Amino acid sequence: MQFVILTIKIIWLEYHITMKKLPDPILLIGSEKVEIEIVAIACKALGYDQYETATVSDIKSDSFKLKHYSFAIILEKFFTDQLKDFVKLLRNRQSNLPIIFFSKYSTVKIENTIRLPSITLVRNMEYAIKKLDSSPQEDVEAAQNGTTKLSAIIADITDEEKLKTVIKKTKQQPATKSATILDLERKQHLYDTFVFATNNVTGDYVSLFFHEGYVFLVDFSKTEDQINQIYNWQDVTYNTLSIDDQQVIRFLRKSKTGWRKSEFIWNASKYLTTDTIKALNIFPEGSFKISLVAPSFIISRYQTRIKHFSLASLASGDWTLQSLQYRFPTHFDEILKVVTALYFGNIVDIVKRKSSISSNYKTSKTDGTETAIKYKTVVIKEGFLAKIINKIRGL
Amino acid sequence: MPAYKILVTGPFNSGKTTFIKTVSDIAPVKTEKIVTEKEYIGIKEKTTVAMDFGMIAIDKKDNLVLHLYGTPGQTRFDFMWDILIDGALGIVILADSTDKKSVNAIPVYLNFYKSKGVDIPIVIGLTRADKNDSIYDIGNIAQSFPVLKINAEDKEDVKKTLLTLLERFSEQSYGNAKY
Repeated sequence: MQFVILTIKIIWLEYHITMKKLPDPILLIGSEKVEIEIVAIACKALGYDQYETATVSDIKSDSFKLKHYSFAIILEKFFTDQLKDFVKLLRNRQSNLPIIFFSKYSTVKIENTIRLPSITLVRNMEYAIKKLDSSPQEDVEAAQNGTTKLSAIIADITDEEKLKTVIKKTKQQPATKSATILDLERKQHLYDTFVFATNNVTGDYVSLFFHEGYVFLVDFSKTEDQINQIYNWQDVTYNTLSIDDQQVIRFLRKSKTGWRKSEFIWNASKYLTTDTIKALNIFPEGSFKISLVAPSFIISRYQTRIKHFSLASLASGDWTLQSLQYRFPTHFDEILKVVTALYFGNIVDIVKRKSSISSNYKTSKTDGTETAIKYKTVVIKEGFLAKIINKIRGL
Repeated sequence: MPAYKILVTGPFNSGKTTFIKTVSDIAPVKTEKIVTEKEYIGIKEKTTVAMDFGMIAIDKKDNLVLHLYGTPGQTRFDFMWDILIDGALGIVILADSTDKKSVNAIPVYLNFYKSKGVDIPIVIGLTRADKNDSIYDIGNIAQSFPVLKINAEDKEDVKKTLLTLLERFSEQSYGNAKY
């Protein structure tokens, strides 16, 4: 049988091809069936017929049998102890299982002090584990030596012992260096590379990004005037870096004299404006290691203009929801269902790479790092194109 | 299930959502919100903010489907253009032929995708061509791309646009387009 091979160079997540190769079903967990259904519809629309759904009540049941999954999606309001246990269970069963945790509800405060991220994508647990396995001490030492003045140590909440070790090491830091240390004890939910926090004054989104041991802080939602109005910069003296966004920002205000907090603001509606870039570059070189975590095309657009920052691009897909979340905080629910469909492609891609399934991906250095730009050869079976044409003719 | 994808893009109010709706087998998934920009208020009530999604079942036996993705028109949503182009077989750029601003915006879309290194067939559809004689000139773009005057509500017109695109794809003649 002859095939006509049409080759085009495109950027593509190829879920239509990959889905046939998913080794195991997708697991969808949610507190309410309707939420699961949103994702299930997206799954189906993209041709992922193999998925299993279960409510949180189901997973408590003895009759619920864990299988192997390609990836898991959890839709829940709270990352409860029960869910923690469940994630632990999943991880014990499949250590590399990608888990996406969607909590589309904002401003959830639990355990009195911890503000649950609005959305946390547990994309890269492996990174966190690896980070801990390799040497959490390195980060701490870097902070102590001043190599890294602001350092994030990422802890895996599913490994209590390791988490305790990191916390202990972190607490050994001298008080004067406390500003360089994350209060991991209060951040047990930072089990991935980045977190979305919620501004507890306005309910808007302020985010902390943790990537490669660096931190990037950003408020997408406010103008400079609004920020100044909301946060009283003049009298802040906090020295703790907390998931509480106010404290984070205040911390930064105190950290270097002469810095005006408002200059940290990255207004999403303008992306990186000239003024913002100028503001970013006021930091003395080496004073902070702050990664700009952004869509790769933004990074590539601005990398030459931002001098003193370690640029890092998250794998594609991380920012898809991120961008939408910031741009459309009030529309997010509606958008979530369709964006989820897009997001799947990225997750599948991750699975695919982990599964060593052959691919035609190439990497391209566009921003100083290996980014996730992918060029793929699409093969169309002989007859498929003709079928499409004939179908349209007959509509 | 083999699924292929065509991207429908173009300026605000050029008829993208309608275009998809006209041929989609399913009620299109829309992400429309009330228009808030001063310059667009009054032109239409709602606008797409993330994407439109429609689908045409091609062959049940092979589970072959064609997806139609519509982009938001405004340039402030250009990050979605970037996302949605992933994997498209081709691009339909629509512009309102009765609106000079809309027609003049066509190069914005061409240049955007060109800057991304996108090298797939492109067809340009001038909408509302049936409603008004004031069809603005699109200049020399027509020398490089097929340009069709269409009514996005007319199934035959939409079919013709898609067929032109697919035929161009099969000819593989799109790679040398200059504009």
